[in-house]
Amino acid sequence: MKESKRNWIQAAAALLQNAHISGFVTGEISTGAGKQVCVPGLNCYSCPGAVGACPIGSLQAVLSGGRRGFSYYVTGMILLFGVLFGRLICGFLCPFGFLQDLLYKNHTRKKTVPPRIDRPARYLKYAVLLILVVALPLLARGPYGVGEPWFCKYLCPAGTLEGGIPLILANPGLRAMVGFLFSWKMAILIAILVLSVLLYRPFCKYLCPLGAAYGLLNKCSFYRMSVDKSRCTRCGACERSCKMGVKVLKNINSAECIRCGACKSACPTGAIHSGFLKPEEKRQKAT
Amino acid sequence: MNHRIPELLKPAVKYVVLVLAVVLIALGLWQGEAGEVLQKAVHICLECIGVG
Repeated sequence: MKESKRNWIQAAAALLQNAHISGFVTGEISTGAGKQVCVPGLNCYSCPGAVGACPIGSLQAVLSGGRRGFSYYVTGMILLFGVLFGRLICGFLCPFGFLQDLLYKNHTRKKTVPPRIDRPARYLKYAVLLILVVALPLLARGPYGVGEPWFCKYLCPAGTLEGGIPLILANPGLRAMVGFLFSWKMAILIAILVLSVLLYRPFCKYLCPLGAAYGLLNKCSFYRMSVDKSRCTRCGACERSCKMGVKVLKNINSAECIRCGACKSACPTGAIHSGFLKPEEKRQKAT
Repeated sequence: MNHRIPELLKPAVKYVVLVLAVVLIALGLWQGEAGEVLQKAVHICLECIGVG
């Protein structure tokens, strides 16, 4: 699939998940029943356009609410999306991933992170998932037994961009409440946006807890990537084309693969397949 | 000791996870968690937008 076609799908997905367009003018968020259903990507439910709930925000909301020690519903939703698609969601459906893709298209000279920093840093997102999304909202409770959404409050750049900025621009009441926390979150957002011009998807690689959860399911998801070894000439074009740094020939369904299809397009012999069917089943269907 | 999943069982993992996901969603719906998510999602989350 061509990169531009994927970008159109990403744009459509971002629009569909933020179809409450009038909210951007009125400064109010949607109160529709659709918000009891999680969307697949990282999309803040306090975005004026959001028509569904962010899975990571919802998970923290239930865990920090003081009534439950586990969220069956949101965990089930994340498992369902993950086992069906894996990180295909990151590559095609996540609005914040799309934004990072657009920023990387800028013709600035690109940087690479040295492997000795890159490799351990990839594990940060699992720590973010375990500590900021699960442990702290669940365990760090205030005097009334209610916790805080630590990831959303202190780290999530999507909430600042999609929720904070449009709501503060359109709502004078909220504007009056801006303080240190907003400055902190703006600094994080700006840092990630600037880094996204120089590095490919830094937030997805190092910090996104939803990408971490879907990455763990990449190996067993119904949607898969595969290499037909009888066609592969080991030219390495696939690995050179992968901006996520996946060792395609060794581990094509790695937790880091966002299933963007760059390796598939780069392969000169058509040895890389993707989809819900195994390559041999696909060939049988075609004949 | 080798803790890797045997090759024969690998294809079954995705079906187990799929069933588990559906069961968890059903349990959550039964316990009224969807309403809890809705309640949170229809109000502006001040922490999420950075003013809470």
